[in-house]
Amino acid sequence: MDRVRRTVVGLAVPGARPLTPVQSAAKPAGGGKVYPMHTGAHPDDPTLPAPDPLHTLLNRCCYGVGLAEWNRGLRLGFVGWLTRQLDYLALDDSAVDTTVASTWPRVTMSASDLLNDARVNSNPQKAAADLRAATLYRQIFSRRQLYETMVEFWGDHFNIASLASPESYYKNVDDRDVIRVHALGYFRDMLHASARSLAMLYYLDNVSNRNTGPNENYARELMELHTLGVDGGYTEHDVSEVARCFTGWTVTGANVGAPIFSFLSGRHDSAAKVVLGRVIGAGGDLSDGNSVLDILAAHPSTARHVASKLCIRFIGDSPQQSVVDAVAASFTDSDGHIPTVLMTLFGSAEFMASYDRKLRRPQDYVLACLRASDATMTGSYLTSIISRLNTLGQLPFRWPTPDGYPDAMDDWINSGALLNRWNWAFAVAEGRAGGIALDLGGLAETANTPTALVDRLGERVLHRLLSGADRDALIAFAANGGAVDRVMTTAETSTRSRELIGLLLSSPYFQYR
Amino acid sequence: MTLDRRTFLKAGAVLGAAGALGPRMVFGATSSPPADTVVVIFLRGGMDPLQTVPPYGDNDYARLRPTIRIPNPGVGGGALPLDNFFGLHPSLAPLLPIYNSKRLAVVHATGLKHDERSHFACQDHLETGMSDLAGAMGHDGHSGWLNRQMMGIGDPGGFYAIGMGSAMQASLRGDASALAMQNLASFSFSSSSARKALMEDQLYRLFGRDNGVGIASRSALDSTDYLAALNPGALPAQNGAVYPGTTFGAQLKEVAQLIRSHSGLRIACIDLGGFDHHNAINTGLPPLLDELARGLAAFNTDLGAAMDNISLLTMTEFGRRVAENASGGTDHGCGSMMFLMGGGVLGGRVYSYWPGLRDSELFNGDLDVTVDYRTVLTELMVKRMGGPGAAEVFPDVAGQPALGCFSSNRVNGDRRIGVPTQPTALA
Repeated sequence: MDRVRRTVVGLAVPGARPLTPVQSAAKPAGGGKVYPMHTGAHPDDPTLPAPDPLHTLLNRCCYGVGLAEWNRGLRLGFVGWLTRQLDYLALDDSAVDTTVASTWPRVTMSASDLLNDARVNSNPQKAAADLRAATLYRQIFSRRQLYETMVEFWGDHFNIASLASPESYYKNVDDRDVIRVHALGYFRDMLHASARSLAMLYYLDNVSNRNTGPNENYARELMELHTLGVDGGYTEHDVSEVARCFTGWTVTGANVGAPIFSFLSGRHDSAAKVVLGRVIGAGGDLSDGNSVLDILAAHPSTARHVASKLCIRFIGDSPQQSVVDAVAASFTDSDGHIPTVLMTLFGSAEFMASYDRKLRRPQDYVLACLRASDATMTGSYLTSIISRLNTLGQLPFRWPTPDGYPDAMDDWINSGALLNRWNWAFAVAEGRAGGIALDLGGLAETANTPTALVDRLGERVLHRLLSGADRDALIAFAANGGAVDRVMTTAETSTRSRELIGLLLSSPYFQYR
Repeated sequence: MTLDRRTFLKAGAVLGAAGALGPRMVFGATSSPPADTVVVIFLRGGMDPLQTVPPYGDNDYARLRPTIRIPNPGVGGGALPLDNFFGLHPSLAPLLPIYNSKRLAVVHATGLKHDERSHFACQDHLETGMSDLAGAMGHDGHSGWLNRQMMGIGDPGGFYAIGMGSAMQASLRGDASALAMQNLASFSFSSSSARKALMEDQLYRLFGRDNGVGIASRSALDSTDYLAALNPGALPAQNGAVYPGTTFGAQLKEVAQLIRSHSGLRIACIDLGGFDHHNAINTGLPPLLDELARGLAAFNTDLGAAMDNISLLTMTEFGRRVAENASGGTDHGCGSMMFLMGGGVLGGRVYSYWPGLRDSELFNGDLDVTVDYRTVLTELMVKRMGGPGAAEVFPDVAGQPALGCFSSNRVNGDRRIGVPTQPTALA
């Protein structure tokens, strides 16, 4: 097999460090091919027309695809759009940044400001509310859609629950300085930053990990969740050894309003340890934990674990071993350079063939309904969104356990969840969601017969073709007992549009990303 | 083939109001032997069994937990004695009267004896109950234990089994159909359209494929009709019961409403999370135990005599290390405990083959498991849930002896919660 062939043609991967094997001039990441079309029939229904690969790419990398983004995709093409999204710093997002900074001030606060703010307000949840609102705002309005998608991915991977500890307001620093800085950077850098993150030190109790009785919480989740994976080859003995390596890692200065990460040598167990068969000699200090992080970042199980999670996120709940292997190899070869890894993933034949294999999670679904219909959002729209996410069980930063929100259909699709998804789609379509309005005339354009309206709205909201049977049934439904090509009044067109948009956003076509 | 919902609605209209329900609302339970409604409460995070039900009679308890141990009975903040060896955490005081009335029991030093200490892998192991769980993702290929029990009685469908919450519990997942619901109020389809019923038909058709999304969708549409007819949310709590004002309390209350509305509910799963106390356990654990105890006590009060035919039990993924850590908490361990509550429980007892807490008696530093939790669940199924195959849900413990913590007698059959009479088929 040839890994390079899985990489999309001639791409300069933005932000890569020079002289890594993949980026060296001697071995350009080119010569492969872009798979032009989906391969294979629809998993459940061979009569369903396959959408364009661009449709799959945009829906996996955006929180729903509005008209402008779809047209941008058509203009730039698969590779062009992806390249531009990966080079996210070149996408001007200053208007969004300005709004976030002025509307949700706790998002840009330092750790000491957050600590003092929480004390003044006696309410550590104000910081979480700001971060939640800013995150949703960015996901809706940022041009850096793939970047925001990866911020969410790593936020789940290094999950810190905002209700878990009184010090959860430090998550705002973690989101900014750990997740956002490294989301499209190098995995190893993110791992080291996470280990020193005040929020993580509190969340997984490393803050009180000391030689007199090591606390294993961080050590275990570091290996099980952040790096190797539960089947990554570590033992219970490794857990206790890694816990010993991290003794003395803590937070100091909170009592004087200046919290910082600190290493207290008096709390450190400096005897020798053996981690995954590697001896960490006696007499170490902060270096013990750093060595563990380096061992883990470079471990092949970590490459497999991260590759597997990325493939589950972007391809399907049970990705083929072939693509997991290719993405893992890309991770290893690129020293964990995330844009390079994503190029391998999105350039794979398995990705191209993966349409209608991956359900939207609630957050994706709720926002995608708005972006796909180019809804106008004013006033209380965030309250409406947050209320629905609460019902659907995916409020940002509220998953309590360190594994982050789950990412498989079984975790999100059930009768109650579907009802509440449809209720959101119809609340949006019928104008019942506070602060959210649709431009029905703009969506329907000139379509004014049942047939034209179904075709127009299907294309406009879904950017893909309906099956013949679904199209016929929706046209008959829109005709409401009349002829399918009769001209409807403006009022009737509007009523039918709301019904059809509600149905299209509820339909299986839109439940998949 | 794909069902056409409109056909059923028309057919149902002929049969009157009760017939205006989807075809999946026909319950098999009418022809089954009497069966309890079983409520499974999963305490996520790994509840510490030695703080929750401290073995104050074991001298090693104080040695291993010098700073965090629950004081002996009679001391301020001390354990509430259950017998001369075990006590209840003082925050569990609302459970003591139920224990004393012999409708609550404890099984101690139970769980699954293995080396895994991951929350997520262990929850999968407990909820599937299969021991050949090697390989990624744990439960791959294994359905939940409750789902296997349902398959044994022929997938009754309808409101037979419900998982409360936004995700269905792994113990309910599998081929037999179960519902998940966040709460009663949100379990409906809302539209302001004058053609709402026609839109439901369109949804029924759009989701006509027999994949997971399609089946869950059609089941949702059928269930909302049924739930609207029952309107369980209108039933007030009985006997002065006051549930905790939390999600857990609300979910217990709604399960009680579903039981009392004769919905046919036989299995309900509820989660209570946050039991992962690596740090400051005596700050974090008491409020959770208080919520648990007040919730269970309210449920018991609310349902009153109907508890004769209800069995409630708690599970957790693992116990904790026996020795406390330097953070005032405990790390992941093995042996754990369960509460059993209901009229079929032979209560007022702590069931345990106590393994001891001397260093030589521990299992990798943890409380040992002397009762495989699956033998408790098997006894529950055989004696209280019935149906063919109940004894085979856990093949790994087939033939192992039962503790004898459940009675197979029905204390008062007349009080058995009825099953609604439904049109049996719309052929």
